[in-house]
Amino acid sequence: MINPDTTYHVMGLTRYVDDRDFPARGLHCVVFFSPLAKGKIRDLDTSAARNVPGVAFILTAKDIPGENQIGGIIQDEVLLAEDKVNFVGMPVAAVYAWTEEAARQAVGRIKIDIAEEIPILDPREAYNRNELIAPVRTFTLGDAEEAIASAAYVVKGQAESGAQEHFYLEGQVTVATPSEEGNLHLSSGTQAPTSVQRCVAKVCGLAMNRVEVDVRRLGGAFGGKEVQANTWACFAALGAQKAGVPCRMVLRRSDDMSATGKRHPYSSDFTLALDGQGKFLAFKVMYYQNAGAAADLSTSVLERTLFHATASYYVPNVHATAAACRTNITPNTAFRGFGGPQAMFVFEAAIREASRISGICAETLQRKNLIKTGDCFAYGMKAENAQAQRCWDRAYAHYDLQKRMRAIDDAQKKETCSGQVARYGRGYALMPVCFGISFTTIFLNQARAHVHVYTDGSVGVSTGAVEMGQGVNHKIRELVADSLGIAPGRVKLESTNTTRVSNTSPTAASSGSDLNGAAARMACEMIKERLFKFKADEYQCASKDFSIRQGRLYREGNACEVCWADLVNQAYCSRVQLSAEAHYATPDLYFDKSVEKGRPFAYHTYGTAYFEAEVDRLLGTYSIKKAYVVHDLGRSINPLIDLGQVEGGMVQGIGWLTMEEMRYDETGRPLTATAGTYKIPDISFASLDMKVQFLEDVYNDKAVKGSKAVGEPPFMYGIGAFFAIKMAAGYEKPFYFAPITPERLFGELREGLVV
Amino acid sequence: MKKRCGFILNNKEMELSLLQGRSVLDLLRKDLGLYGTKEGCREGECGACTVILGRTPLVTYRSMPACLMPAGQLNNTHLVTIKGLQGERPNRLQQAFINQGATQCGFCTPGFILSLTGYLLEGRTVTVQGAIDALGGNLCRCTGYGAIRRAVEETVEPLLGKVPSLQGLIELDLLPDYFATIPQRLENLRRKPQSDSPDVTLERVEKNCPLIAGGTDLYVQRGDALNKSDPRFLIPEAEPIRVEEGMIEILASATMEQLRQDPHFIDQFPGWREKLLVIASHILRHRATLGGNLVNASPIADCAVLLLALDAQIQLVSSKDSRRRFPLRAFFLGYKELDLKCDELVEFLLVTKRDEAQLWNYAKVSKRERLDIAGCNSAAVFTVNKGAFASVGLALGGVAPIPFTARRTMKWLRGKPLSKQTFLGSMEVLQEEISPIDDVRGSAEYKRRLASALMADHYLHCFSDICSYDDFVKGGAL
Ligand SMILES: Cc1cc2nc3c(=O)[nH]c(=O)nc-3n(C[C@@H](O)[C@@H](O)[C@H](O)COP(=O)(O)OP(=O)(O)OC[C@H]3O[C@@H](n4cnc5c(N)ncnc54)[C@H](O)[C@@H]3O)c2cc1C
Ligand code: FES
Ligand code: FES
Repeated sequence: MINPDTTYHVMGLTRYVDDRDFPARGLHCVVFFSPLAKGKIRDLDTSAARNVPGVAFILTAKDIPGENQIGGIIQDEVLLAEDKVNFVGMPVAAVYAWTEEAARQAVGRIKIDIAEEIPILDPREAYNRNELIAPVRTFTLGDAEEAIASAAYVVKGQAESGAQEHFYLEGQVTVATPSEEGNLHLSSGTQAPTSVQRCVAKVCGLAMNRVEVDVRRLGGAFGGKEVQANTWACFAALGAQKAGVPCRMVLRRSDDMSATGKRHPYSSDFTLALDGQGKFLAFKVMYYQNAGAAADLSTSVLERTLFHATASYYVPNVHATAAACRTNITPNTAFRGFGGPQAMFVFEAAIREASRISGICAETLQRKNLIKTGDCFAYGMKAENAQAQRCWDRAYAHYDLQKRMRAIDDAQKKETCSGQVARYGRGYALMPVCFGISFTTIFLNQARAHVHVYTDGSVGVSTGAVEMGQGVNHKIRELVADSLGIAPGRVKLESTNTTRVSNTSPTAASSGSDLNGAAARMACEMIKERLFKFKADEYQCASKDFSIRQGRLYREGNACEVCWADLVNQAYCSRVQLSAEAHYATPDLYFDKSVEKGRPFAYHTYGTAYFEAEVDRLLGTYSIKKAYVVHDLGRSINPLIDLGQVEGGMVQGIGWLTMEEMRYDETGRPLTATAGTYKIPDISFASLDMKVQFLEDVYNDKAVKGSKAVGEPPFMYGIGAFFAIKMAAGYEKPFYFAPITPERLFGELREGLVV
Repeated sequence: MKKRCGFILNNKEMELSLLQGRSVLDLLRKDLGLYGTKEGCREGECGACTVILGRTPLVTYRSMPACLMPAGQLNNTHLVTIKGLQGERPNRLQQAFINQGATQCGFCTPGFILSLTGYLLEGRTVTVQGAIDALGGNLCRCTGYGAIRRAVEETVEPLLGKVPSLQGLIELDLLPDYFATIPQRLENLRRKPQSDSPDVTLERVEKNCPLIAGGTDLYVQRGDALNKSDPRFLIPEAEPIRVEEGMIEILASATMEQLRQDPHFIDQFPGWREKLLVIASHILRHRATLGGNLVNASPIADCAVLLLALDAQIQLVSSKDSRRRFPLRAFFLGYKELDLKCDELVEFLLVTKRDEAQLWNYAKVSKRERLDIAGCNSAAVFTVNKGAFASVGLALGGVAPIPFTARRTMKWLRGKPLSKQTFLGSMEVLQEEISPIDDVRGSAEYKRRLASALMADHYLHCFSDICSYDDFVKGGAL
């Protein structure tokens, strides 16, 4: 069945948080941000701003009734600056006015005097000055040093990847409404309702049970509304609490882009050791993560980087170290892939370097070292039911890759022989992906669901999952319908609400349908069990004789004279409980941080992508021509949704390493924090020949109905586009600097053209 | 002061009293509660706010971003939002989006639907590529566009190669029935002058009272102030480009898209339409005017660079109705400094009309090929006589404080034989006369070398039989 939400989307009927009439007796909040990256606040003058007609009040740090603290994992982030500022875009004061225009005008009249200090922008510099968010962590397997000493080839290099703006189309938003007794209701654009609830409660000085957070849907999030939504929810809550009227906080695109965190930039040093045949012997790496001015989720992101240090490959000896470095840019945050892409980029760069030095082609190195069932990851888990080689081989066969690559190789050879440089070069690259599924913070791997069956047979489902375009609600609808044996049209997914489902984990880590879908099915089984027992009593037989299919009750395979609606109505009249709540916790997960070993993932998702790119060596521009994918998602719950996740994730990944460039000047001011200067892929750039095949005959016994999570893994295919561009450029000199903007490519070409 | 404004909003006649400068986006969402139109950026960059505007005569429909559009310009028009396409069920295009999974979070979707519908309403021959190009101003962060492309292909399939009529679109279930009544209703509206006509004036600068052409520059720069203002407008003409005494005359109010689609330019400059696709986006080109592009005076302005290479003349008109005409290159005096007096307006531009197709090229390099401001751009026009350059027009953006006419290079080339040596030599001359600076679009060094590369691109495009890329590499010119 097709996701019914999409009908409302195409007709423009879907309501997002800000799509409602806001009362005239309501406040609008606009925030005044720090214009400087680092310094002490000498003076903050809000007097002129207060005099703007329509302004109700202005809040600064000292006005916060609860704690001025929004840090999650580490309590190191204030909501409003107290005596110092740590990044450009840090909130300093919040203006509340009866119109948005007045609030905006007032913000323009706030004056701040800051004793400016020199900011740190480079993570390596922060590391050298010991500006760390948390102690450095190291994962080891075997003995890397010893293996390096005896290797046939040892290659070293540096790789850099840049920040990435989420660019969700709907900006950050919360509307807070006070109710009697000073309780607050928040309609919020968050991936993590409980996190908003906790944060608002703390800042407003309320118990959590007095803050209700409701989330209908988000206009995109991609990780950018996991922790980063808290700030804006707090501002809305503070206004509503103080004034006793509704308060609306909507970030404009330019404010959103300059004040919210991004994907973490990384700078990394790697060493890869190989034997004469190209088997990987050892990998050593040091990651300098640019965490920004506060912890946010940086330590968790960094942890996932370590988990994915060896990408899709088996390396027997590993030494991977990672540092979360505190700098003076926005606190960086979750973004699809969550540190995984940064790690895989480094490893793929190491492979290209190894290929260059050893003369063994990159694809041979990749294929030879793909992870197999039973191979051990650096964190001590063994690969189970590994599909890396199958995906790879299937891609070769299905897309006739050998022939395609040979044609490009031949053209390059011909060019070299002729001694003539051609203007346009073609290149290709393969990119295997192996991505661990589960929150690496083990306790987050739990979910709850509430299922109500109404007397007319319709069903309402509440879970902790947040719908943000990934189709999780519809997947759960289909799972519930399948479980109850009724048509999906009877099932309605309610908003995500902290009073219905409490203590939710964020909808993140690709785990939304795995966890919440499993919980919903458990609840359905409980209701079914009761219905069967009720009928078994009536027929004097066993519960297990019954089943429900296509809205009818069956007894030992024979249709009974009772349809679903009658069944539930009869059960209700016999005082059978028609609601159920279930809790699911992913089994068999553990991790011991003292030795950095364990089983942090329920399973891994695999896949392989093949890319072709064309470079105009004259102008330094490029286009991606082909992306052919074989992706393993177990048994797909909804192939149309999953295809959309694969294509969408991949194009986002391509954007990250190509045109998406967050630039800061030497004072730490972002230079590309507007839609006009920060460019994401458009339809013409993405008009490539894109083909996706799902791997056949795989059943994943670790997730609901044999499926696999799909949200994040395809993002990392985009790394292949980067290396295809590199090959097409046709120069020898290794630069592993992303994003490869036309300006960078142009510069690299002029330095190192092979003639 | 508020003024009365009469227009048709979807299927309903409206008479509103409003501030002329209020953005159509705020009017729709905040004043009228039409939440199907989304706000994604207020910069013309995302297309979430796309609407279709229909104007008489004939009712010419064009898609455009509502966020950069003043409500005062709605007088006597048909404004179509996503609500205006709504029937009981999804229409054919909407159903294709559903079938293909072309909507995920859905926030961008109304904009895509309107841009594509607008394209079908333009009265041009439908092609798949044209339909995709028409979505160039709409960003989607979720889908990766694959499903959107498939939905577009599915939708336009029965229309390929045809010029769809209003009736045809209604029959194909791509428009609701009421569209058939709009031409008559617009006519009725026009006859009944119930609205105050918006101020059209020749005085350019007046305190707090800016003059808006397309508004695409002004609203990005100071949208908040304009939203509360009562500006004056340059009223667009349906046919702003005509040929007069051997000259193509282009009114300043011509939009970028009118320039791109003009048959005279298309005849005279092979590949014109395709090359100009890199300027702004489909929806934005329906708003941005030539006059605004020149007066905005960005050193990288695309139309300025094009017109400079075409050796255009500019004509100004003053409030006292006196006129001045001179070469466009003399219009640009220094960074954001123009030879334009307070009481003068740009009236039109003139380009020499030729019967034969000309050798020319236009190239632009930016982070994203389309809808991005260039690091550098350049246009060149060559005429050749007996194996030598007879005349050369060459302009570049991003290499000087103004859109730059490379006069020394042009002069140096004149009379020189067409040869690799000439080409290489001209690039040295060019290097001497440009002076790029570092900025967010690129470093000075990058732009300097890009200028040579663009020059090489001109030669490779126009004289591929004489030179190859390899010649420029080996000649050390890059
Ligand atoms: C998303 C986006 C993408 C863009 N992409 C490009 C691009 O690719 N290439 C490019 O070159 N530019 C681009 N621009 C800049 C674009 O705004 C201008 O180039 C555009 O042409 C301005 O025209 P307008 O009619 O909208 O100007 P307006 O905003 O209406 O006016 C700009 C200025 O010109 C004055 N003015 C307008 N007409 C006249 C006249 N006839 N006489 C005297 N003064 C006049 C106005 O008073 C005002 O001061 C882009 C802008 C946006 C928002
Ligand atoms: S809101 Fe983005 S183009 Fe108008
Ligand atoms: S569907 Fe989310 S931005 Fe397009």
